[in-house]
Amino acid sequence: MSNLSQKDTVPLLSVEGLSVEYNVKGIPLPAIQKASFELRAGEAVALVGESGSGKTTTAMAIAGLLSPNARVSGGQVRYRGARLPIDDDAAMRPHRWSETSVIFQGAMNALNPVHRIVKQIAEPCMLNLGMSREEATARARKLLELVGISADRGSAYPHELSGGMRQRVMIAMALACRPSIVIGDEPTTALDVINQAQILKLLVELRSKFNLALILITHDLSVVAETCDRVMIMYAGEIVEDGEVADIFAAPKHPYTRLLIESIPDPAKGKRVLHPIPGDPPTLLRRPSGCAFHTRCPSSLPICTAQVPQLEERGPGRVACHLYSSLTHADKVLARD
Amino acid sequence: MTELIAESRRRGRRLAIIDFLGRLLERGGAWVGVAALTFFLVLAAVPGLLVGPLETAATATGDFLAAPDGQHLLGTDEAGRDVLNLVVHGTRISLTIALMSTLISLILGTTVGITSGYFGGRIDTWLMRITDFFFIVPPFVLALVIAPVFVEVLGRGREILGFRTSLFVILVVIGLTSWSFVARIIRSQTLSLGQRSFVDRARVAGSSDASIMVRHILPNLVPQIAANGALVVAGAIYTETALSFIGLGDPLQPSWGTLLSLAQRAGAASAGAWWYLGAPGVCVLTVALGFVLLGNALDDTFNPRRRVIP
Amino acid sequence: MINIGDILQLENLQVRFPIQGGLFDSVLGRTQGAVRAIDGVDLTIGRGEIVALVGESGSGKTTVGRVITKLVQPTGGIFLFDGKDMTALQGWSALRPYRRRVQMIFQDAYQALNPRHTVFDAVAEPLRSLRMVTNDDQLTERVSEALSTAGLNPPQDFFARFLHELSGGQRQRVVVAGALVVKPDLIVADEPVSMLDVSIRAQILQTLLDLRDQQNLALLFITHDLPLAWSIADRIAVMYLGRIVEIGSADDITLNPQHPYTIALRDATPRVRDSADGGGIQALQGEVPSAARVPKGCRFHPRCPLAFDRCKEQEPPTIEVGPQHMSACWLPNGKAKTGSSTATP
Repeated sequence: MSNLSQKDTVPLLSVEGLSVEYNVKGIPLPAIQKASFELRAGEAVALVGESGSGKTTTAMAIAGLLSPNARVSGGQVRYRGARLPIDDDAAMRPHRWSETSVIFQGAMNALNPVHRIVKQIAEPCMLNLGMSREEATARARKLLELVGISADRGSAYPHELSGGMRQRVMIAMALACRPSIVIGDEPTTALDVINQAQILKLLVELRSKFNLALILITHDLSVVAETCDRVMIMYAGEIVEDGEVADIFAAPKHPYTRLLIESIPDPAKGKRVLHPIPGDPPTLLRRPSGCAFHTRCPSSLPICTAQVPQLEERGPGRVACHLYSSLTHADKVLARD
Repeated sequence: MTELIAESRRRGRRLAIIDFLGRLLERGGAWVGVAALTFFLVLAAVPGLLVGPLETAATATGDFLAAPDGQHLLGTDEAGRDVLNLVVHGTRISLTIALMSTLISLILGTTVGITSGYFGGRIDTWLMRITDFFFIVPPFVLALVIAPVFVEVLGRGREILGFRTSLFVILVVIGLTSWSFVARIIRSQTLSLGQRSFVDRARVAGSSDASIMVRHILPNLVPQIAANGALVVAGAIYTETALSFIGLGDPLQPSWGTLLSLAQRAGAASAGAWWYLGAPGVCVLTVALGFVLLGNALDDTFNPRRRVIP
Repeated sequence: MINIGDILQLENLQVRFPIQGGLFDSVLGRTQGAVRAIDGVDLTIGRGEIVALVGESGSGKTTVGRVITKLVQPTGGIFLFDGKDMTALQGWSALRPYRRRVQMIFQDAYQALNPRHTVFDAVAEPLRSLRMVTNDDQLTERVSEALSTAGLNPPQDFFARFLHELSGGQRQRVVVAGALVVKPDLIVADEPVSMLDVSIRAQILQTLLDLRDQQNLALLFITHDLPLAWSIADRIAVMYLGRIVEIGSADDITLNPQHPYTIALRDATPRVRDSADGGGIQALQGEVPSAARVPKGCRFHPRCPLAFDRCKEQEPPTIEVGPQHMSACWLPNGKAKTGSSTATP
């Protein structure tokens, strides 16, 4: 499992009430609303959600890679206690690659087709670590071996490699400058099952070897079950539940979490997917009032249409749901504020 | 019930066009281009707005090579004709030739391009060889070669589609030498469209090849055709001007190019008659620029991601 | 479900794409070999049966689907539909009766339909092209029915909409409606839910199951996701590099796989485990070889942890390893399962 250092009182990463909105044709659309969580060194946390959940925006915010039409409308991100200037691209440059790096989905798009792979891995070393070309190239070769690509393939171009191997190159690049946090944005979604297994095993191995903190963005809860310590479920831009992976799977609280877990077929338990969740996940434009999930929730109460539930601690984790909120029963049923 | 389908389709189209025009006119270049072109198109259609009928040497109204004044806003030529009059009437000739030859070019180029890109194989190879041939044929050489042939066959004084023989030759030549440019672009677009699964789905749904080319591929090519069409027109204006300038035009139906030619031969440059050379020249530039701006704006509108510099 | 007779039979189906040589090769008479996309596939689908074709990229599963929908001509073998030989059938009018009975659902709804067509046009296209209706009222009625069955209600609201105005789930429903509007006997679904949000997948799957129950629709469900295949299919066929390596009931394949490749797939699939299940995912080493260079002997032997001499020389035949359960492996029944795990150290 993870190597949690008890001596670290300051969390590696602290997201405090972060809100981000996108400017679409002059209209501000909220993508994340008051997201708060912590990440400690060596921890593997998953951000799980479907389209429109805000999981990618959250991770991009942490890496300072928000798109130009995005704006931080509230809250902040702290790295080792110090505030990160996530909306300032230039100020974030020293942080990127050497403190936080990203493995993107679909490596085909992220690799430069006209540069050899060893050169592409060496580049961030030269830029961020100030290495000479020889030093950086040597390091690049070592990194390739680390991710399971023999060094003699280093002179290959991206198109000469398979999808799985290209994703390994992305991982090597992400590790090049010795970051503390690695963000994986759906790193295995485009891969076949066996390739995915290879990459996931590699990530787990590298994580424990270098005591990396890992943020894994995915929609696939089974991948989370196999690789992460903690999981955060996001829906319509908010964290609706989080906790230790074992706890969440054993006893999910939020109805959305329950439904997500139930939609995983499990042959070993004879569990077919029998309960379709009606409706569609909300888009940035159409956000329901109150709790965003109430339109699809089998257990919604009258208050759910009126008031947004807050993320509160319940047992070992947190959940944002009126079924568990600290309001009185009368408040919930009569929808009084 | 059929009313419903028809109405819904009309609504869909209306909304699409309004949305498209809105996005198009957001671009600064589009306004300039559209404004300039509208002005000239109106002139071409209704020359009477500005001037009387085309002046000939017999009906000339002014002094020879007189500078612009109150009566002749753009001065006169060596025969005393009002330059403004000549230029306005030349608008119709130049624009019509350019537009019609572009039409030929687009129809020919699109047909060849789609067929070539869709079927591939030997059809593609042979059509592309023909396309390549027409691509490298120089317009001037072709014009000089076929002009006498047409004149022989059709006679000097004949009028086809309102054009005298020599102008008709120019129209044909421009059409023949610009279609291959369109064909190549359309072919490459067709190739990439053909990879998309909606073409497969159309086949599985039982649509014939012709139906797929017309109902599926062609509508998706409209943006390309429109944007490239505008650029082809700009090129056609220039080619027509050039061909007329070297004397292939017709002095009885003077286009701007012919006017430039007449001006040059009358020694306008050494006589300092800047109005005589300048007026048709500026018109050619403005119209060509207008089409280029429009073409770029269309291109931007259809593909907002392509332009990096706003 | 009581189903009489098979709707589809593939016997030793082969699809080989020749590799284009360069100029010198054709001059010197050298061949560059061929991509063996499908290299001998035997498969039957019964009426109203749901068969899943599971494999990774390069397995040939998509090509099988394309052969059945007549987008690709087989280069060998036989392909029977409802008892009639369809192998050589080509041409628009000759295929018309066939296309009225076999349709396809594509993976990417955004690409699978013309973005310039309305929902109505997209769903109506097969009816028009296949001349299945005689007047507009009939057309509208059939389209409404299809949209409704696919879960888009009220159908009229969707007629004038364009693809980009719809959500991902709705788009895929339009694709489904476009396939079932002709009331086919067989639908080939190529990864129909892979690009959809998890919470919506079940909706589409339920629709397909309902169609099978109500209209006796047979379904070839192509996917790379083994648990997904299990949750919807009656039988599963596992493909590797152009051949079916194992076939059996859904339960047999997922819970009692015999072929080392199937076992590797199962072991590599992530899942939620109880504390009692101590292991994690197992990753088979290596990559799928190119279909242009299929290994000699058993095509899986270079990556198979249980390979022995015979595997390198001779391609194994399909052996019965259980009732209605076949595996193409030299290992005797049960050996593959009790052999060491297919994990990499």
